[in-house]
Amino acid sequence: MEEKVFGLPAGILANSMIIILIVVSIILLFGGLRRFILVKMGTRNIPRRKGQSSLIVMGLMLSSIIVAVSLGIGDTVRYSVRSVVFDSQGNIDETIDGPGKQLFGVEYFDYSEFENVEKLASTNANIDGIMPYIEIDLPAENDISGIAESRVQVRGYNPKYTDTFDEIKNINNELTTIDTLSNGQVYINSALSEKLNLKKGDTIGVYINLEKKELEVKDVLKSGSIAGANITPTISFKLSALQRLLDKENMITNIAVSNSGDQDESLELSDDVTQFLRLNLTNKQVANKFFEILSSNEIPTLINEEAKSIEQTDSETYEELSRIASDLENNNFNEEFITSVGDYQLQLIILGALDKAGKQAEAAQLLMMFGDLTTLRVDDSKNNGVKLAETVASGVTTIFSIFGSFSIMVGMLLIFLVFVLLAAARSTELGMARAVGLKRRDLIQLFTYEGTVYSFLAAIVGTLIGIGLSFGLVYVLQDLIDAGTFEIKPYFSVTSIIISFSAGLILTFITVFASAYRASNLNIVVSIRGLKEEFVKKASLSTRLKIKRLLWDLIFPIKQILRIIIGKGGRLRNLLVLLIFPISWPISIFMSLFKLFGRHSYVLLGIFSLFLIFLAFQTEGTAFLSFGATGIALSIGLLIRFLSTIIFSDQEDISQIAGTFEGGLVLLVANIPLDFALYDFASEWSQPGPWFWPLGGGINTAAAVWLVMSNNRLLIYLLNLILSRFSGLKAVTKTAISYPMASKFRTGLTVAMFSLIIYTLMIFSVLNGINDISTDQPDRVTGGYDIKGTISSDNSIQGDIRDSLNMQDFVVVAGSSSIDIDAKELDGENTTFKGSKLISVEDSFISTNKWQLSYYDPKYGSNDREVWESLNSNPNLVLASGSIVESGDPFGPPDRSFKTSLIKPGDLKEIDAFDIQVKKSRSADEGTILTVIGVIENLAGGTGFGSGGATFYSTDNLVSEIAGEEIPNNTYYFSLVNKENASDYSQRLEKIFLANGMNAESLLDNINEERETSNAFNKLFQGFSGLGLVVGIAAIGVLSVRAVVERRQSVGVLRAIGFRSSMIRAQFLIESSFITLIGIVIGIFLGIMQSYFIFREISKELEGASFSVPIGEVGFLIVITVVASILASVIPANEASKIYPAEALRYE
Amino acid sequence: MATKKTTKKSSIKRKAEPKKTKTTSKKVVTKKTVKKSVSKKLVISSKNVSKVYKGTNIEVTALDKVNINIYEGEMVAIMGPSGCGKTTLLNCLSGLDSIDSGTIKLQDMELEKLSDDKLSEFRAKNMGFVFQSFNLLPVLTTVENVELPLLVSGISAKEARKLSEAKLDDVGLLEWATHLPGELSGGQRQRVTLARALVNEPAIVWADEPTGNLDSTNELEIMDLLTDLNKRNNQTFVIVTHSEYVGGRTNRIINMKDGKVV
Repeated sequence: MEEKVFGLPAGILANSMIIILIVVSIILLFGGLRRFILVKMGTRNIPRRKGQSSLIVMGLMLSSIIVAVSLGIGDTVRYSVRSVVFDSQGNIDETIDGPGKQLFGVEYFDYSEFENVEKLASTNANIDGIMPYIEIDLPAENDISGIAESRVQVRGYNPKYTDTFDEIKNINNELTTIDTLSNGQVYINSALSEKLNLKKGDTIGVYINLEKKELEVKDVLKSGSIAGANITPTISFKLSALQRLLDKENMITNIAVSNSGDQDESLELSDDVTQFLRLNLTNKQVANKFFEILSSNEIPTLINEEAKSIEQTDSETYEELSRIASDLENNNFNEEFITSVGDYQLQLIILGALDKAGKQAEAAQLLMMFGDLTTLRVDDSKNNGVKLAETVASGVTTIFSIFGSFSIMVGMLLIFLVFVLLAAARSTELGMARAVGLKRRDLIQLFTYEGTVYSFLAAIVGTLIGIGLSFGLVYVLQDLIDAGTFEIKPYFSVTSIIISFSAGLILTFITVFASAYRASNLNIVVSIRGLKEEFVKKASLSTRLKIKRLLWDLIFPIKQILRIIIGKGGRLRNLLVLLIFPISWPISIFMSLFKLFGRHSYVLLGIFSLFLIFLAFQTEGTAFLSFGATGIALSIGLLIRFLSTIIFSDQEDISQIAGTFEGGLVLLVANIPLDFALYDFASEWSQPGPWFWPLGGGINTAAAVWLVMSNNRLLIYLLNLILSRFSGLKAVTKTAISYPMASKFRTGLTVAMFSLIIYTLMIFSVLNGINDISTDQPDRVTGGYDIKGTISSDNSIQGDIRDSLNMQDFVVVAGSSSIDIDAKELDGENTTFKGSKLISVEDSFISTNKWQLSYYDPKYGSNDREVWESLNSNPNLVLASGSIVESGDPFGPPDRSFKTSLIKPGDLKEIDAFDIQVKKSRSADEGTILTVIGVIENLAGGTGFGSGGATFYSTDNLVSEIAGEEIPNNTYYFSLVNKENASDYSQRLEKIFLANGMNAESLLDNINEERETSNAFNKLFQGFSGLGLVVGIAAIGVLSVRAVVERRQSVGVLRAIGFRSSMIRAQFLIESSFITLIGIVIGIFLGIMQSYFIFREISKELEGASFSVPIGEVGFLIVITVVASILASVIPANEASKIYPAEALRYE
Repeated sequence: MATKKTTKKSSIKRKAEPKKTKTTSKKVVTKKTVKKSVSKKLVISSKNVSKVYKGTNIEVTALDKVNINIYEGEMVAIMGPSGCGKTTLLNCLSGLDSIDSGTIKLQDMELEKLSDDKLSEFRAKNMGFVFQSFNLLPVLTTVENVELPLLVSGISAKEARKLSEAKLDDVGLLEWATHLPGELSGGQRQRVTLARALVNEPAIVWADEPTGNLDSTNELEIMDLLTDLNKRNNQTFVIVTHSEYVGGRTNRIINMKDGKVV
């Protein structure tokens, strides 16, 4: 599987970035060589002002750091998981299991099957080894010390095959073989040796069929491959010995397959070998019959429709179904079809399609054939492991880059700010340069050269720091998740280095170029005289000319070719612009359109936004709807701006009114919740991906900052009103507030930086608070039980478990049994069988559990308890787990288990009971009708991570009834008299039921561990997002330095009229805190608002969750940010306070 | 539009004050027409004041043993060629700059003995400054600029606003109180500077080329204002100027050359 970064193939991304870099470098080099003087002029300031240059580089490197950290963590996770896979799998590339017909326990198959596979394998050159074995989990203990392990992987190997399959070494690195094991001897791997404190020559007790067998440890093997993975305690037997002990003569559970070539080559062959094996282990005649039935009538169309319905949620299945449909349509019975239909999930979907089409007869026919379709199942285990590594790694990269994108935005704002300030500082110099004949594009080049040097340095330093930081964070992560023996191996791939270096460089470069473009737009006279730091608008073109230009831009490539031929405006430049016509063409049309519409551009924006809304309805995507609505809001704001210019004459009035509407309307529209009445029609549309979050955050912040900065007069007025009571202070604060408010642009940029960062940090803080419900009301998670014990069904407890316990210690002991079933709705839309689980619980569980319901039918009781009890009234009543209700989680893997179409998140608690049809998984049974009378809240049933798919809870016996055989209990819930003893008692239970392989865990401990982990994760992400704060603070520093330089003279005047030096210092410090505070206030406001919206979504599924703002944390955030920004401006403020009035005034 | 408005206002004001003749031309007043008797209380005195600017390879003696006495209510012009040390003298006398040797006394206080804070406080309460390039804070409105010295001196905001408005009225700019300096003409700006310099009723007003950036009409208006205020409030004015006209309107001219009083 190819590595992916930000959803794109990493290789392609890296290559394209290199190409972009090379193209940009060639352009820069060419331009630079042609007019070296511009390079010289541009770069000479860098060594002159070392301090300033270092500060700029520090600010610019943030985007490289963030990208590098995201990729580095991803790489390390990928590499570490891959290492585990390679280590545990060794030479095993694929494993072959039994047909999967068994309801529980280990599935054995006849040794003759292996001989068939062996013959088959000998015909394929891609397979270089094959090995039969038994794999089963059994309890084992150290007889002397009494240390026990309830689940140890036990494997039996046939030495004939093992010894050619892979090397086996002991911990002293000496080669050994399975063949040397005599009767009563086993090997253990180092993982088990450590766990049970066993060494060579010791005796190990293994429980087989509830009976303890004592065996001699012949040697301790180095973990990995045949000896068992580093994280899996393993005992290795000779196959014949294990078969005898298990009473499974001539039976095996697995066949291992090794592909030719080294590690990477064999991995590449995995798909081919898997397909070869699946193809040959599938009954082709049955598959052909399948094909015949399915290709008749309109079934392919139905399958296609089915595929489309899951396109958004499960792209993998969608692709597979589409391919099957097209094969059927084209009458193309091929190998891929044969291997695909072997997949149970796909079989269920196809059956569902047939059912829907009213083709029950065909469905029944297929159902009968399922059993004969596959003899053995092929699992491309190593490849899957590598895929898992890829999924986890790219997930981690995505999460980190999403959280990091806020900081990247802040970093880009800083670059922009720095260049705006640089342009301001050099305004006279640039004006002079223009006056003596430099063109505007020369100025752009000038700045671009300077910026390129900064970006280059920043990208190098940023990438290096990012690599280091990612390793650091990974170690912190390892500590947090307490992964036991899972070893984190720091790794950073060359591709990632290229991507983070280039991404940082390109992002910085784009911003540098944009700011250079802005800076070059200066009025020569204004700059030379240093009159005002403002950019002057050019005289407007005539409408005729604008239309002419638009028409030319519509045929942009022809225009460019003509310009090249005529030689107008530089041939090279025109050629370059022509080369990037896919980008330059639409941009030039847009620019011409906006120029043509001029002050009426809101019309254009309005039309464009309406088009987006039209697209939204076409694609049923809420992202388009959101952008369209925001665009409409902005165009209304712009219309109001236009109208104000007619009504009002004062520019300040116009800015205030228009800015208020522009910012306010966008803020309002961008935050209308999707379930709000206005958007009701869109409640079932597809949700945008996680990328939408930073984008929405950016829009929100921009709108809020715009709104606040447009109302600067109001802000100053209010502050003056408050401060007018303190006259001495007023003199200082007045100047401190008025200066930043007068430079709206740069203040706005800085405020936006702080807002963005505080916004993210606030969301984390608030959401952290919501999580705590599992601590406040743990019963809702644990059901009121203290310990959950699971055993393998092979070693079920004989008789009543209570007989083996001292019942005085327990309040309740309740058992349950489970099987896999297929379920479908009878009345709703989801009438295709989907995998689920049925759990039958004992009466004592029903009467004592404290799980709450999020939905129930009041006909069955007026509260949760009564509904639980009503299960007893009819054995066909069930309660479903919360996962049957669809909840668009953007991060999780697709949940392919049963979902209901009858309940939507946010529905009222009272529902009507509905019927489902269930049947034993992989069976042709007709099925049983069950009635779902309520849904248990998501908080219950398993603690957090991987709580699994749809599950139905019923009274005792239903499982056995549906299974058609007696299914023993496999899970027990214990409620202790003395709840504090849960941790100790769980160990005691493991010991008591060691022969049954009981794995007992204290549920409260689980909750605590999970909460600690999730808190730690949150803190980690918070810290990572907080990186942006560093940039914000750097921005305040840069701004203060610039302010001191610009306002030397004002400081002189203030000193002359009596300001003490301490007052000057205070003025600058108050100024930076003021800017920071506006940012903080906006950030807090937006953060609380956004987290409230998230909370609303969460609370739909989490009754009793309460929304609260963690005042302490917010206070801490405010204090730390303000203090940091004060610290950042202390040095410049001190410098300002030391300005000698006569000196400052001399440069009048 | 803005300039028109002010001109009208100031001309009305002049009408109300019969002492000034609207038609006075620059040449007529060059001779010392405004002579008045001054009291003999010494407010500013310097004894052997020297100041040397030290560059890396060069030393410039800006002030060379300057001795001057200025009395209460006097309006004194310091004149001389460029680089003779006029502004340096003004800066040193007002305490904006330090001296290398000698003593300066303002109202019997020895400047060198005052701490930076005390000096600032002294400036806030007893001095007013007028500069050539106005040096108004561009981000504050006219009235806010004027009230700044009062606020620094600890006068209540309400009182400060009242006094500042009165002072703006004095210089004929009350109507422009809430405008930013950028919206005012050069002459108007200098009048705001004057209002700011005088709002705290200072004993001494220092003016460094107060008419340097103004045309002749505005120069005349400003000097009318200055002399009028000097007369009415008995404040001491020290004006550094190149302008013969300005020098001619003062009581006394101190001429300087190469850092020395000549």
